Amino acid sequence: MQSAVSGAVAATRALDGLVRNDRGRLIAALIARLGSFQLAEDALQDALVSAVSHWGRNGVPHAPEGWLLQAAYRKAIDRIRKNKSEIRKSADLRPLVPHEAADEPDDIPDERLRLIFTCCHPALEPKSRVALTLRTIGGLSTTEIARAFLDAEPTMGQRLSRAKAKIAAARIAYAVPGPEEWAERLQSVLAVIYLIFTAGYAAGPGQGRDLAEEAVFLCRMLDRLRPDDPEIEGCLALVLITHARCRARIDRDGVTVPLAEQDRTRWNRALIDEGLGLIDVAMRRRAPGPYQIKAAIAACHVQGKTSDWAQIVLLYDSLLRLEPTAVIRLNRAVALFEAGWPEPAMRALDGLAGELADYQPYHAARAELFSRSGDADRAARAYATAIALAASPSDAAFLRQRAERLKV
Amino acid sequence: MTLIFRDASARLFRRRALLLTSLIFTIAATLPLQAQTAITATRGDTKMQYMLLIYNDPTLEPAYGTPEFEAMMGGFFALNERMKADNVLVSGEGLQGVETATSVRVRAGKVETMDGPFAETREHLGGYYVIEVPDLDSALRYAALVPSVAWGTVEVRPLMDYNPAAE
Repeated sequence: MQSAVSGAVAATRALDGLVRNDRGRLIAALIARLGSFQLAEDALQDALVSAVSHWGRNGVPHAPEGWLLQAAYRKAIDRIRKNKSEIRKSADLRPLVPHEAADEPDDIPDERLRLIFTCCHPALEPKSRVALTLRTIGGLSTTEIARAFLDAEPTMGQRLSRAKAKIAAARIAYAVPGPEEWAERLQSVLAVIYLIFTAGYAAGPGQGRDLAEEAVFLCRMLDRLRPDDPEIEGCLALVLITHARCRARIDRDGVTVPLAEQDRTRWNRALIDEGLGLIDVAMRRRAPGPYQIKAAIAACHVQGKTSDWAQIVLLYDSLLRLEPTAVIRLNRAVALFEAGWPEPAMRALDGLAGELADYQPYHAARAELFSRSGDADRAARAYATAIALAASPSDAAFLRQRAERLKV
Repeated sequence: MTLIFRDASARLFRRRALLLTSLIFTIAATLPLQAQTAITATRGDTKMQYMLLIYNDPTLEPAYGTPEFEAMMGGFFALNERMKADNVLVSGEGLQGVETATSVRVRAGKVETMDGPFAETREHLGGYYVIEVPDLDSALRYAALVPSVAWGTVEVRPLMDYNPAAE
């Protein structure tokens, strides 16, 4: 009795570790073989269930991933056979048959590059790309994803099913794009990773899976599967350098600390150095892109004792040529002010009033600039608007503190 | 033809319609026989059929006789030839303008007939292609070659595959 229990415990622990670290890789390999997201997920689930009892009885196999993969193939075949009414049953089975007799492979090919390009395909809704990437590659549960994006669980479940159904019905290829489409499709993948990162960054390290860590994991994976791409290196550098400041950016009372006031000894130096190294390598490839520029801006904030604002203005200028968006013009305006050019900064801000009316950082930036130019009334009004629009309690607390300071 | 008509007299209107129809969309007849048979043979197997629905705002179209108009025609021509050469073209037609549209529905057993298109939008369905390609990315590549994407939109939809031969 004792040994059965300890066997079960050992099996469950081994499975926990596997699911956490290798689920994406297993799913990717299964989709490559089965050609269906849904079938791959269902088959892996079946295989995990049978692993609990098998491993509990007989011990954890020497190649647990291979065991799971092989079991999942068999479960998939069972599922297809059972579902007699399913259209094109024979066609679905065809890719499986040659592998049926194969041994448990020790070395599972890493198909996650194909998987991430499919999950981040521009034919899917942006939010679905994020959710699908977190679900299939990150291995997060639907519940975790729903919580992270403040969605009801059934809504998120439906979103995921819709995305998977579209991939199947519209036949979105399970393939790494060729050189012609690479640049554009890569931007779509990096945008998803960066969105995941900012979602984690906004929420702060707290309950559940840390999405910022998840984004770092995904970006490292991408860099490993497709080495020497300057934009992937740029994106990785950007998330690493930003993530390095995570312990310093919220104080003990849960209030956001602006960069200039952060305790630099609390920054993670190793991550920053890794990020700076990546930027150097990427820049030497002489193929600039938006993520390399954003990483360079992040670098300007962490090198030296204070941020190099003049350099940052120039970097925003080049970024604007690639991404002429209102948010980047806002960031440039703030950089102008910090670099010592308040009048053009204010003019630029005024020009953005319409486009960014509902954007909290816009009002926070205006408030800050008014307050530092000695216009307390307008600063107070802008703070009030920003507080009403704040996305997180830490941000709202920070803005309230700032607004309070005006009164002294 | 929503692709080009906006102002103009009925005669010009008709002339353009004829022009576009003959120039652009008399494709099915010229399709290589081999392609036509291939369509039925490969359907639902390794290739998939997509419809490219060509929508655009007629007021944004280049006017007949302008260099832009010529460029558009040339673009359609080139696309037709390319799709035929690639052996992906199943069919394609151009539609006359929405001012020629009549909509029908049956409500409570009564036929209701109305002048005008189903939806009053700025962008109208002006024509379509059906192509047969391996996956969505290939379909999107052809869609991006439709000249009117420069001012309109091409919606890409997979065709249903009933596969009546299946068990």
